[in-house]
Amino acid sequence: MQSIQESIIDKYPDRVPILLEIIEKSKLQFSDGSKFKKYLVDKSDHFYHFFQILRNSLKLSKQESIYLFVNKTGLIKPESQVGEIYAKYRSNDGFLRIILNEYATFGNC
Amino acid sequence: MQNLCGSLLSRWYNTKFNLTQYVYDIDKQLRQQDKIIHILNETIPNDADIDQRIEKLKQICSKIIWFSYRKNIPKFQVSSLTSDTGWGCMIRVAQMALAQIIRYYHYFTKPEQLIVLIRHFIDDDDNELTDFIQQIQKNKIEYFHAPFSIQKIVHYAKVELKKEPGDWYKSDEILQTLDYLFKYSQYSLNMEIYINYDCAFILQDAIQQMFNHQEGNELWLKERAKNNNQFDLYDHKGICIFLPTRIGLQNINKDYLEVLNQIMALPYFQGMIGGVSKRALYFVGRIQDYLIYLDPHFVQNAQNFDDLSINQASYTCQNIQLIHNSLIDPSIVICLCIRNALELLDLWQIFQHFKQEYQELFFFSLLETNNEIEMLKSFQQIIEVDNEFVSIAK
Repeated sequence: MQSIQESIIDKYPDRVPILLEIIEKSKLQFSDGSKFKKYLVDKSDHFYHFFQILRNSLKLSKQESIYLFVNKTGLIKPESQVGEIYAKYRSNDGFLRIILNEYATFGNC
Repeated sequence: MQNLCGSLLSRWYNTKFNLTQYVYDIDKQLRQQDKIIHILNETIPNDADIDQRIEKLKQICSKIIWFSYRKNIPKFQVSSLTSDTGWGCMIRVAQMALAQIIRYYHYFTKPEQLIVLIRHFIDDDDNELTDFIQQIQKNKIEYFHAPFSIQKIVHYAKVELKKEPGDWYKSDEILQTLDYLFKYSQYSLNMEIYINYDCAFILQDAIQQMFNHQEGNELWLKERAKNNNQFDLYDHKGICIFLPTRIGLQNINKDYLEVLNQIMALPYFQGMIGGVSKRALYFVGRIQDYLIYLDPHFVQNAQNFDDLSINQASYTCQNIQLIHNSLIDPSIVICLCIRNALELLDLWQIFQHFKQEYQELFFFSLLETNNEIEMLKSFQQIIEVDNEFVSIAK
C-alpha cells in the first residue's frame, strides 16, 4: 500500500513535500489553531514565494520578520531554490522539514 | 509601596551591573586577548603596547552615547508606569544604535551638538507628547526636540503594534517604531533609514533611500560613484542601514560566526542590536571571538533638557564588557552607516564577495533590484488542498 506522501509525489512529480512546523514557544499559529502544515511546492520555485504564502496565511505585516530553518540550524534565504534545499536536507520519509521561528523579545525579569 | 518596590528593583539591577563589572574584570580579559580589536568602524592593531590599546578602546567607547534604564520618568499618557526598569532594554539598545549612527554620520564632537542629539532621546520630553499626538491626527510633520523619547516610542507601539507600556520588544518592532518617528527629527533632512525585514539587502532600495532615484542598479551606482565629486553634498542623503536576521534556531549556529566576524570588521559597521538570554545589549566591536558590548541594565534618574544641559555624564558608560560570541542570542540586527555613492558601491561589492566566498553561510539574500520579487508577485498563485497538503503552483 502506498503512503499518502508517496501517492502525492507520484501525482505531482515536479513538486516536493514540505512539513512546516512553527516553533512551540511562538505565539504564531495558522487560522485553524494548528502549528503544522504540509505543503507541496514547485521544485523550480524560490523560497520568496513560500515566504509570501506563509506571511499571508499567518496574517503578518511586512515589518514582522519570520525565519525558516532546515536541519535545526540552517537559515533558509528567500533566494534559495526549493529543489536545491530539498535535495540537500530532505529527511528519510521524503519530507523537507522546516521550522519557523520569529524574532526574540528582549526584556529582563 | 510601588515606590519602595521600584527603588528595591533599581538597587538590585545596579548591584548586579556593578557586580558584573567586578567579576568580569575587562582589563584582565583584554590582556589575555592580545588580538586585533575591532571597535565600530575602527581597528586597533595588536602592534602597540597593551595599555595603550586598552586606553584607545576605552576612549572610543566613552564617546558612544549610552542609554540605560531610567526611573522617575514623567508618566506615559497611557500608563501609570514611571520607569522602564525590567522591560525597556531593547528600546535603550536601539536608541544607542540610532544615536551612534547619527553622531558618526555628522562627525559630532562638540558638547552643544551632542546635547542636541541626546535631547532627541531624552526621557523627560517636557510634555511634547500632547503636541505630537495632535500632529499625527492632523497628518502634519514638524520637527520635535525629542522625537525618540520613550513617551513617543510607547505611544506609537500602543497605537500601531498594540503593545502596552511594560511589554517586551522585539528588534523588528522597535526598528519599525524608530523608522516611523525619524521623520519628526531634524536629522531626517540629510539622512534616511533603510531596513529590510526579509533578511535581504536590496541595492535598488538603498539607492532609492539615498538618492531618491527609482530605477537604480549597480551600473547606475557605478556612474554615480565615478562622478561623486561633481554632485553637491545636498544632492543625496546618508543612510542608516538596519539588517535584522536570526543566525540560529534556538542557539547561535556557529557556522555563521565567521561571516558575522567579517561584517563586524567592515569600515561601515556601527554596532549590532542583540542580546543574551532575553537581556538586550548593544554590541559595538569584537576581539577575536569575544564581543564588546554596552549594557543598558543600569537604573538612573530621568533627566529633562535643563539637567542634560548642565551635565551629560550619565550618557557615557565607563564600563565596557566582553562576552563570547557563541553565547549571544541568535536574533541580531546589523547596523551600518553609508555616507555616499562610493561607500554604497564598496559595501555592495564587499557583500557580493562575501556571498561568493561563504555561499549559503552568508546569511543575507543579496538582490540588485526588486524585479525578481515583483515578478513573483505577478505570478498567479494557485493554492489547492489535496489530502492535507497545501499545494502551491505557479
